[in-house]
Amino acid sequence: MRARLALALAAILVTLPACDSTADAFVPLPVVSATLEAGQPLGPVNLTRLVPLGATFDPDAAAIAGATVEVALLATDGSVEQTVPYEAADEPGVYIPTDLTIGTLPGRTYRLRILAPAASGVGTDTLTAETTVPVLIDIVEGPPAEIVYGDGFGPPVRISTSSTASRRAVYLLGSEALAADRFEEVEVEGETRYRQLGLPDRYGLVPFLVTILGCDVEDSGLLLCDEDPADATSGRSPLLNEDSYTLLGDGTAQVPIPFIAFGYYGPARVTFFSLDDAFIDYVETQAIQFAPTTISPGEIPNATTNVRNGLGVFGSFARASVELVVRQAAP
Amino acid sequence: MPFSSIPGRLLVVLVALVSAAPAWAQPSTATVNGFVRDGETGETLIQATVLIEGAARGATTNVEGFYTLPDVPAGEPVSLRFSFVGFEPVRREVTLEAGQTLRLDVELSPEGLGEVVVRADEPIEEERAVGLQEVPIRLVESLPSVFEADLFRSIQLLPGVKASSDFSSALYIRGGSPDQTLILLDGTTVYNPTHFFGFFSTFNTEAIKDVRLYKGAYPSTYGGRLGSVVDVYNRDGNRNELDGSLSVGLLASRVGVEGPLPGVKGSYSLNARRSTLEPLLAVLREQLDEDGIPESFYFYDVNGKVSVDLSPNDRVSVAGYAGRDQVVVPFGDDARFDLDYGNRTTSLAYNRVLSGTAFAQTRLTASRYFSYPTGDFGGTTFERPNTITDYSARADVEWLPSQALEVRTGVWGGTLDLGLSSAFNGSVQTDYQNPSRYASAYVQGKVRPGNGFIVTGGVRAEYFRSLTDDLTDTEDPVASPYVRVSPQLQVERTFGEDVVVQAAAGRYHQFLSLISNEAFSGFDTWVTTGVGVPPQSSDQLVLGVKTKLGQAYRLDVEVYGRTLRDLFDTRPEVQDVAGLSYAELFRFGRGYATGAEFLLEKGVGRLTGLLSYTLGVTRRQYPDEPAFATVFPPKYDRLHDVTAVVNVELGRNWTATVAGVYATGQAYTVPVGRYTVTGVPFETGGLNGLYSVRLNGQRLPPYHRVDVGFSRTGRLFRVADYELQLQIVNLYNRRNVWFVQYDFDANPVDQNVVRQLPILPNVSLSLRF
Repeated sequence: MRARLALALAAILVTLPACDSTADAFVPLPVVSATLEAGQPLGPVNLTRLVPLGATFDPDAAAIAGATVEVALLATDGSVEQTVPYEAADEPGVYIPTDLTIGTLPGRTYRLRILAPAASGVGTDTLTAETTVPVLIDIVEGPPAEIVYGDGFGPPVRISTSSTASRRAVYLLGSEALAADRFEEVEVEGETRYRQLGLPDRYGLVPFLVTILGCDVEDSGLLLCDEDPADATSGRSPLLNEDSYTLLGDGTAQVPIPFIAFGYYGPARVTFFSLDDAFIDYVETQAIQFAPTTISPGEIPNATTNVRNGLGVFGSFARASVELVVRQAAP
Repeated sequence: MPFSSIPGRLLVVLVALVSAAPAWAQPSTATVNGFVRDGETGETLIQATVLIEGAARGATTNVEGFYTLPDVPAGEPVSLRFSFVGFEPVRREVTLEAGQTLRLDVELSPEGLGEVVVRADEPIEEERAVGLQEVPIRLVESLPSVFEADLFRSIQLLPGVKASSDFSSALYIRGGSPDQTLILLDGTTVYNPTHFFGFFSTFNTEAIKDVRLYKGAYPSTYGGRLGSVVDVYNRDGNRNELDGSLSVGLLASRVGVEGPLPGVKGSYSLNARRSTLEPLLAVLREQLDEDGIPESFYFYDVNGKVSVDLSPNDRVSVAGYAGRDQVVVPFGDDARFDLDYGNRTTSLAYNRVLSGTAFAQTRLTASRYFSYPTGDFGGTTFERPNTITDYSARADVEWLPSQALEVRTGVWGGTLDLGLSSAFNGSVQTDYQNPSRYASAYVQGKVRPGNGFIVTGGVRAEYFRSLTDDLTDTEDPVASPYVRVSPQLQVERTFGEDVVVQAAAGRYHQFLSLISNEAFSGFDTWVTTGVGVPPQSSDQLVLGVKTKLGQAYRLDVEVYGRTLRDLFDTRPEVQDVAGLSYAELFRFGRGYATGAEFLLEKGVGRLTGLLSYTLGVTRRQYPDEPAFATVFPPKYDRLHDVTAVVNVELGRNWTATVAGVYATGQAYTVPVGRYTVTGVPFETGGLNGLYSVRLNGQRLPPYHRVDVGFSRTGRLFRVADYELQLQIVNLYNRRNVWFVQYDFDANPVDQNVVRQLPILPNVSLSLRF
């Protein structure tokens, strides 16, 4: 009995490695990067191909030339109301409208249609995608022109809401430091660090980032950081549903801009982006490829695309911006 | 539809129940009942066997150590044999009068510690139901461990049970996620049974008396989970003398005391454990001067139990558990992360022998889980308190009117309050309070129609209602009560004394789901059914053969299949829940798991141990989620799993233990390509993307690991018994892969392989005085 058992186990162990999966074939799928902004002229369309994971990504080499691109404005019944042909721009893989004055209408649906040369060199791939442009948003009441960092939750802003639209808005909140000080790369005790230059009319990091970036205050009062502060001059929030905001009865919403949105003292621009469904789907599914929370590590779902027969996104958005100055609290 | 005939099968059981009725009316028999205890400590023994010698039938003790043996022949001498794993069997000669009920409490003497698995000389059909696995605590304590003996990590060695990684003690049983296993401590549900954020399970092995693991097709006496049950019972305490223990390990130290209660018939036990990492952390902080080294990092747990016999037929006990983990991680001078989480449970139980053939158990339970993560980064603060509070009452009655019939019935109901909120800089972002009510009732019959057949049928009705079904903290006008009926049937037939063939089928429902991270259990969050979120359900079918191979070996084979329907867990991509309906929070899935398990045990001799092999397939699918719409294997799916545990008595009080695991590599996703979406106004540099042909379509390299341990027992200065353990985990330093990360800062993309545990030594010294 023992001999038989040993034989059976040996057979199992021998066959174990054979059960591992074979590699998946790589196909250089076309990738669409196309964005429309409500109230602005139709934007460019960028066409590239999927690059093998281990290969160096060269945008020019990945660009798709020779494609036929057009964007159509659709009527409510789905019929084509207006078609705008695109033409190749100087930059490889970039296509721009032949008429640069045609604007993007808020609340309307656009269809992208691309005939791209097939990767095999024979025939074409037909790519299509649609986006419904969000309604315009306005900043009804801006924040104070100057705010003191850390005073409460953050400066309030009142924006228009999508209460009249067919769907509730989903926002991204972006911020950009307009006068961020520069940092130079230096070698300190064999390690690469970043030393603040202290340029005139430039401003340093807020305390939160001083901590996150591992910065020390030198005798000069300037910062010496482990991580490059240049990466923190702009940032954005996760997606925020309109219902996160305090909806006022007059069709506006009160939005606090949290201080965590600011990386630097000094002048800053805060922008509200109202996104369409395609961008929302893409942004939220792309995020879990790199920062999964509840799925298993190593389980990497594909980002959701609205491009038929391809990857990427044909999305649209509306935006409104406001500028303010962030002051350091008095010591 | 393999389960469509379950109602029909239940009908068969009911008919069998009725047809068995005349057997209980026979006047020429008597009944024997009583407790079976450990003669050294007075602890009651669960699942001890009582046999009528020569009649090839008997009974086993219930979870209170009480047995009922009806239909004992009257008017003639009868020899009863009492036995239990690791104890000397005891025989009692009795002569009973017709209709008599004899109370016969028996004490068994321990026969030594070398045997780690069940003896093979008991009638096989009395030992285990299908899917039931005993987990000897002695085995748990003898296994090489990462710093600390751990119950769940030992269970992970059993066939059909998988671990997600070296870093997690969570149980993935027969294709089920950890939340599909009901975990009970003295009858009280434990919601987050972990320490160190999942690295260890919460149970102190010094405090545990018995563990039952039902891997599938569990009986109707349990409910509320799709897959399996881990039923843990704490020690009642030594009823005969004061007993103490002290254990010092690399990670934690333990102390325990137990003894008889003065003035009454009863006992108490108190066991405490606390991690002792602070000195090491202090040295690391001083020497390394690095951010991220905790300023405070500890866990503790305390188990206590008091039991009092009010009379020979009445017993009351109070049990409690408190465990807590806390970590404080400073970053620089003005940033810190603080996580405080843990469990509290308490139960008050009253047991009564109602008659010669009936036993009742009532229990009030309370369970609370809390998690209070807070962060302060340069004055920007966040909090995310999460609590679960569960109060319940249950009553169970078992009635054994004849050898041919056993009936169990019971009710269980309670309240379950979930609370989850988040605040950012003091401003509340989410405040989700979900009070729920639940109730269930079951009846289960076990009949022995003859010819070696045993038929067990049961049905459990379950009710669950979430009172708040949305995120606005107001009662939803649309009620969402769910009532589900879960039938269960098991048929087994014995062939001689050495072979039993079993088949079981059942339907199971689950009203809760756990949102967790495999790498970190400190943020575990439970969610419930609600409007648009129906209960999960599973149909299970298990076929098994249990055989004795001589006096030393046992071979168990089980084949299982289970469906999974209406699985719900939060959509992983959702970044903001504001304004979403309750159902919009979730993705809904289905799946299946199937497999075969082989377990060979050697229970006697100087060399004991087990060898197991599992062939398993698990698949999932979320049809409405594009990225998860195609059937895929979850990460923990493994086709092959081989485990070996060998325990050898080396002589001179030395024992060696070796545990080895070989498994198919876990499923993971290998992207075939990368791309960048450019021109995105809110993302400088564009949005990078990975593309794969199949989700989890590839396999990591095979997982294998061998752990070894040596222990020496003896007497220390005539004061205490000691056990010294020297262990090495991952003997040959196999760097098993956990997962792969991709870094887009490099071009081409960097692939970082994250590995599991390296070789680790462990030393512990335990004293018992």
